[in-house]
Amino acid sequence: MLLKWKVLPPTTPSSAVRKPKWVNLAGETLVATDVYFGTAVLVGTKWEAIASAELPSAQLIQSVTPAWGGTWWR
Amino acid sequence: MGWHVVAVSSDGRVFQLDLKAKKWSVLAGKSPLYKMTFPLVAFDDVREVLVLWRSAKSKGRKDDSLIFDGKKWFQPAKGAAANAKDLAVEGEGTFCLFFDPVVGRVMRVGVSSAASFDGQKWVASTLKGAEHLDTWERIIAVNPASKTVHSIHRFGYVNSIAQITCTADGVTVKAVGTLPSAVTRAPNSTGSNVAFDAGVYDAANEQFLAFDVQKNERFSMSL
Repeated sequence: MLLKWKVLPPTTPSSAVRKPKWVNLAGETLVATDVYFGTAVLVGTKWEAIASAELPSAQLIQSVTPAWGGTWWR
Repeated sequence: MGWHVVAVSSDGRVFQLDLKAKKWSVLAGKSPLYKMTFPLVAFDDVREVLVLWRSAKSKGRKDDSLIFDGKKWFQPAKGAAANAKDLAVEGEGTFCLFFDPVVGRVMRVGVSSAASFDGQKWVASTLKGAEHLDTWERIIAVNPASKTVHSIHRFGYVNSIAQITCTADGVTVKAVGTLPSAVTRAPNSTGSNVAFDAGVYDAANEQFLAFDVQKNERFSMSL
């Protein structure tokens, strides 16, 4: 079976994210994150920067993953 | 209840994204237990824990796991080891980690061995058809509604899709199809392949989204 890609409207990048290593879905929200903790969410076709917690020097983000919010998230 | 995004830094701190406030907050402080480098991560829907596993021996531990229960890290019993043949291959695509909605466990699938995490340790599982998973980079697409799992991956310039079926008897992989490289539309495009490291599966809409970040382009594909 040959599958096909569909090209979507281009997005406007955010300078907050240098080179996304992870793109995750939180509900219906797309979240892009780089290893330096730069983060942006996709609103329409525009990536909007969001604030990150302070990351000490020499530290990198190692993984970003979605999780279903159960008991321990609150 | 709702979806969150969680980040882990190299000192073991865990952050949680508040989408309403649009900011990250610290969920747990640094931990001496965390000595991994870019581990594979999956969220265990049943036990509500993050399961991390790392194969590489170049940095940190080899064939080792860590669990985050929402408050602290702990190291589980080791259980079934990954196949040495798989571990000998350095690369991101040798293994994949995902929560399987059928067996209700996080699965660790390599190219010659598989295991499931029972909450305490890894339990060995049989694996058939893993040759369809050999890849450089991959997005695992788990659909909770249909309880199907697909691997969308790239090996050289070939993109392909395989279905991963997990049961109590073992893991079976079957090829589903191939798809052409998604090249950019830039005038000077060199025909770069779609960026799988910036891809995600949108289960609600049953489509795979991939982003060519360098050229600000994006693609979708329905499974």
